[in-house]
Amino acid sequence: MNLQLLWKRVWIAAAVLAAALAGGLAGSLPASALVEVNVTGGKVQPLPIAIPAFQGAGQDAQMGSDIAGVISADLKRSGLFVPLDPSTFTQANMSADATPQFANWTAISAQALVAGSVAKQPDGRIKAEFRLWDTFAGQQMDGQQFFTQPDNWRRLAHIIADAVYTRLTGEKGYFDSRVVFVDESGPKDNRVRRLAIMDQDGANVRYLTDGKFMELTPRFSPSSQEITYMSYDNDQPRVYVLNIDTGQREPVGDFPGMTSAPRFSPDGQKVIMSLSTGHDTNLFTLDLRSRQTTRLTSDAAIDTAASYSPDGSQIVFESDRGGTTQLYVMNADGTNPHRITFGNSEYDTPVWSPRGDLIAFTRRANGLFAIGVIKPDGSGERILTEGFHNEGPTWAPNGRVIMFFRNTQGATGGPQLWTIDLSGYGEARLQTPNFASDPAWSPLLN
Amino acid sequence: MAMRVGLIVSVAAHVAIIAWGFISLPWPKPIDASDIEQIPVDFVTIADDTKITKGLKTADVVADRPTPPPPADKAEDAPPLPKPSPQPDPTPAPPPPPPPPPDPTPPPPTPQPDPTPPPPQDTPPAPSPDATAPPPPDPTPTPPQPLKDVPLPHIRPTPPKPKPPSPTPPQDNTQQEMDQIATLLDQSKPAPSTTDTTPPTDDKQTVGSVTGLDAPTLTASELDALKSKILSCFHPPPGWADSQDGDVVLMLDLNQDGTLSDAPSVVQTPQGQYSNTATESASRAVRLCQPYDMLSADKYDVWKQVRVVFKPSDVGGA
Repeated sequence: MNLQLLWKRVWIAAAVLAAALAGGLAGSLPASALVEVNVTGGKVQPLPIAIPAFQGAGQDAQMGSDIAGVISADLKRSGLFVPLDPSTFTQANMSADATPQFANWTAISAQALVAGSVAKQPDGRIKAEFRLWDTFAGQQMDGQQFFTQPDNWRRLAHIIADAVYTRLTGEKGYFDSRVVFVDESGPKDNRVRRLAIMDQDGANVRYLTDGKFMELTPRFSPSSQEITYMSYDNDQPRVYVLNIDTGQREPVGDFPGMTSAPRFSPDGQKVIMSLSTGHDTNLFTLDLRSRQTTRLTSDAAIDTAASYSPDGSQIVFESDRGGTTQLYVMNADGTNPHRITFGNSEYDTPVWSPRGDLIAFTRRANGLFAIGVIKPDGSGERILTEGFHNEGPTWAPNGRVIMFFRNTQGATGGPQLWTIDLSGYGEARLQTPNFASDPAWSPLLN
Repeated sequence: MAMRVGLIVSVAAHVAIIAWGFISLPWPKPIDASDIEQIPVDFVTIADDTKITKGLKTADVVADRPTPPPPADKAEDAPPLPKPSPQPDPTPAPPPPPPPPPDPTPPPPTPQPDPTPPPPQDTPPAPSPDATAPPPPDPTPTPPQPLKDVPLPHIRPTPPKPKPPSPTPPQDNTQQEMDQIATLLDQSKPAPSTTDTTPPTDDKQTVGSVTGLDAPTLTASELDALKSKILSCFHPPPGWADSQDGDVVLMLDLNQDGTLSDAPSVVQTPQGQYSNTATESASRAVRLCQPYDMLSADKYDVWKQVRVVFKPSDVGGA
């Protein structure tokens, strides 16, 4: 084969290759140069929503107005909604069966509309129904009706608020739930601390103890029917379990030292707590049926504030075994403890999210107390709020909202309860009769 | 000593070379820093002349383009014939009437005996509202049970009823016969004339399409303005950002005044928990933000259809 023929073949091969590449590129090009806009970096903004009074005849009218008010307050406190002023509504008499004039609602920028009715039934119960409308699409998004006793109107409103919240955010609701907390009254140097329970919006406060002894760290059982807490009854600090309905209480185990920081396991069968003996504090579990105790840690350190993962397979707790107070995660049987927080800050009061994806904590750094979240593997730490004194986070049942207590400074200052959305938006104070601290959120009631 | 002589010679030679360079090489001419009269200039683009869009068969027909004169060898002006009957009507047929809306009144429930209630407790109760269907008169209280999935019949906006076709006026028999004859004559296509230079009827001339090569596009500023406006109306579900559910993609058909000509069509929805809520939030945003009057009417062909991709990344608190 002569040299000229060889060169010719090389050129032909190169031409074929180039043609193939060109064809491939042309085939991969988009068929059209359509205008495309990428919308990224959005902000979580509260959604404008219109909630007219539920329509009712006669005496039911007041109840209809009250139900709408509770729904509005629930949604507003979540930080994700802005209920619009009813005085701006131009379509009157919005009942569950009325078809909205959507232009009237879009004119006031209402992106969603909740229209409902309430009526007393011959059997004494009330029937409440509502429809959720997408005003800009002109479509119904949800519609339900309920029958209940008139006394339950407030809880009924929470259930409707949950339905609206779920439909518009994609998250489970959390308004039909309760909070147990430590009510603090009296002067700052002589506070009376007693346990109290209320609806998550601060209504229906009821005291569980009389304040004779100081009680701390109440925590709900998975059924919401019992709480476990620490009491200084007769100057002997120990852990108790209290049945909310019957008022019956009993100590958890008989330990030689001080027991504290109790919390139920997700199945409600065990209580995990700290036992202080001498200079050491370690974690133990007590099986509520067999009364068998199991030691989980044995360090010359303070291990406390344990919290189970939702599936019960792991435990997060705080420990100063490394010199400063940090968060550790271990298996539920006490094996494989490993540290998940590092740095100069100190981390306290970890609580595992009901969804399992995050752990809430209190962080102390530079004289400030912050509430934050971190993934169980120690990554993704995020601070939601920081200030003079924020402490004691607890998760709403949907794992989306955190409640904590914030101390105000000064002689007349004291702890108050606050909520915040996981996005860091929507911080709101919860009204309580007195100062309040150490909240614990119940699971959903139904 | 010899080393010292060599050094002297070397230094002398280097000095000589440098001196020669100074003498023989030309000095650079100093830059003339005198004032120059400033003349305003305009940048003129010839893109309008050179960017010719590629024609497409499916693009819009130029309505006002003069039609070519009829060929010379056409026999005579025949009376206009109706279109061949087998040709489908290019105008879309009216949609079939929607199914009648459901009756807003709830269906009568089938009476069911309530389960026996639990023993009454005098402790603070947490009774759930009863999740029964609409009311059979039941004197006994139903037990506490979660109330869910009791959907009311949906009330949907009643769509406008399709107008019945307007009655055609009666035609006289002569005209009817003429039409029948014309239909018969039109059964076969006439053979194309050898001198007919007009393009076939399905190859209509167009002004090109935005999908053609070298088509004009929106500038970066115009795209940013459009994005900012949509973003200002967007209330994404707060949990969507942390999820792996994916993007929402909508296709917008716009009128020349920037309003939506139709409901935004959903091209892609996220997969998972936020599928509905993210898609609905995006649809609400584009509806709420119209009209998009920041877009130049001159480029309407470019933006009459816009694809909007809503991404969950970087969604944060306000």
